[in-house]
Amino acid sequence: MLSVEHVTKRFGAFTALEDVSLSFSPGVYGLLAPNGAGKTTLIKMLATLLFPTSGQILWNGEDIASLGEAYRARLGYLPQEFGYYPGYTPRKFLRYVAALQCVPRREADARIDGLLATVGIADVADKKMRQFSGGMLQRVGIAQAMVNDPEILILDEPTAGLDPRERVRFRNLVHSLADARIVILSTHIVSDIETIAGRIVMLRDRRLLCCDTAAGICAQLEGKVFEVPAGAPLAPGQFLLSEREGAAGPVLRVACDEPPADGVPVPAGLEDAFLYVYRDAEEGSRGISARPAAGKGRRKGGRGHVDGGGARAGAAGGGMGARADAGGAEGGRP
Amino acid sequence: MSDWERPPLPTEGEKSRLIAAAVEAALPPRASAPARLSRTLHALGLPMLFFGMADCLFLAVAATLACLAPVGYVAAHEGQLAPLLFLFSPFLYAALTLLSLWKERMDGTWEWRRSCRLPFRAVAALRMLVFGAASAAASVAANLWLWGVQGQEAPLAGMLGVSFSSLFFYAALSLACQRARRLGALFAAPAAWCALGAALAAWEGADAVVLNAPIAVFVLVVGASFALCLWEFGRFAAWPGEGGLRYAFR
Repeated sequence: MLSVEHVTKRFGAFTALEDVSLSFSPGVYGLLAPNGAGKTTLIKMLATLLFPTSGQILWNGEDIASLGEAYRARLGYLPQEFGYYPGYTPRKFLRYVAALQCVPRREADARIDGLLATVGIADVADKKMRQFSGGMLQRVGIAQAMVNDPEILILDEPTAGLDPRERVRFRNLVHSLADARIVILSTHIVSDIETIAGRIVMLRDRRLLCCDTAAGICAQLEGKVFEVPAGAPLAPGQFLLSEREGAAGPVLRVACDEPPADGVPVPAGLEDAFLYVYRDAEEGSRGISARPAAGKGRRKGGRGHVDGGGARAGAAGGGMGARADAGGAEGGRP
Repeated sequence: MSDWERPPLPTEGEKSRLIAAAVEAALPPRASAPARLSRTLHALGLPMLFFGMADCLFLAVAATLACLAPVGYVAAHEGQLAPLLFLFSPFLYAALTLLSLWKERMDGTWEWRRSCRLPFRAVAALRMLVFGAASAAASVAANLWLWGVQGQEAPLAGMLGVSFSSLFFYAALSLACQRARRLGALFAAPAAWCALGAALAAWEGADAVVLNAPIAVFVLVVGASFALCLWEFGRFAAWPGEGGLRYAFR
């Protein structure tokens, strides 16, 4: 088990994370928060690229800093900016990674063949990586993180910049790798997490907000999400979540405690919960006095994914009631 | 409670010793720096040590050779050999280390490499050893060539003494500068070296004094610079903070 115990990380006067406590057991965990919330800081501490200012991170009860190589031998890490060598083929590159991971050569070759097939680049294993697309390079990145058959797989924003087809392929790949392994996936793309993560860890204001299943998080907003036609002004207490093109015209999704007069109740999704939780506090208290006019700022197609960094706030409805579990939130299989 | 009922408590010194003994027994034994370097070399192999670095190695060697011609010209015609040797001797080593560090920074591989099992610092230390050995060998060859170019007038022992001490002092300085976790630390050593070289070049009697010093002085200076370089290297290779932002340049 991997546990984070009261970890705080400060860079001079700036606090990136404050008193975060978590436990990870085999399964897929989604680390969901807007940009700048501390996801990458936490990820880097788990990957031993940074050390906590206070608190500790334990692997089976032992501090990972003192374990050193013994911990990194169990770790596979795909950073947000995956660096590679354009002039080398995936096979040669993975052989290098295998050497860095102390995997014996005979065993490495067989494992590399299997990994190349698993990630779907066996047919280009001997082509130079400068010819690869972004999705193919991410798959090479996954393969390098898996070379040592890690017990802990950490992926930092693995789908950023990938097209929808590549993202679906990536999700399926993560599903297939999650058996008997701790997979920690950091992202601000809600749709990537809700389909594959058994537990979702949310951070807000540099603290742990909750560690729960997607259903548990969405249950906090159950009965509070409505769709209303675009055009009419928002009443106080109504928070604009998103808008979409409905069958009869553009509709807005709003969160509020009291059902609006012309509102249709809809099930709350994880994206709704994300937008509601991370609404801007100042705008949340001031409220929005008018809905966007129909036809302006309309998002094409369905809801698509949400960039948490650009989430806009509306009037603050009743509190979502999301749990801020700072006392050792448990993760695990759903 | 009377005094004879109160249990004897350990003193602060005894407490500290007991705690240290308990911690020592509990923590896994840390391998020595030579053992770690040896294991890293055995696991990686010499060719893999420079994986992805072929362009840096080529550029560094090409730049060194390109500088050798004007250095030879100046040596043959101008006569101020000591400042030239002082400035130029660490050039190959500086080019190799700076280019490889810059390449690692630019190609973005340093993050996932630092999370690998083999210590990032051990790989960097092994590279420095190889760069240093190659630079020392190149110094011998370059000095022999320069000695021939300037008509064998200057004492070869003096030239080699200046070269080796310059190389070792520079290596120690660059390692010391890297303790500061700043991008500018990479360039502090070359900048300081150029300033020192310029000061030496301004000294008109440099050749007469430096190159004609007794052999014992050269042996002493080379020995001291080598010892300093080894000491800095030992600190670098044995640094307990793996990962993180120490020496692993960011």
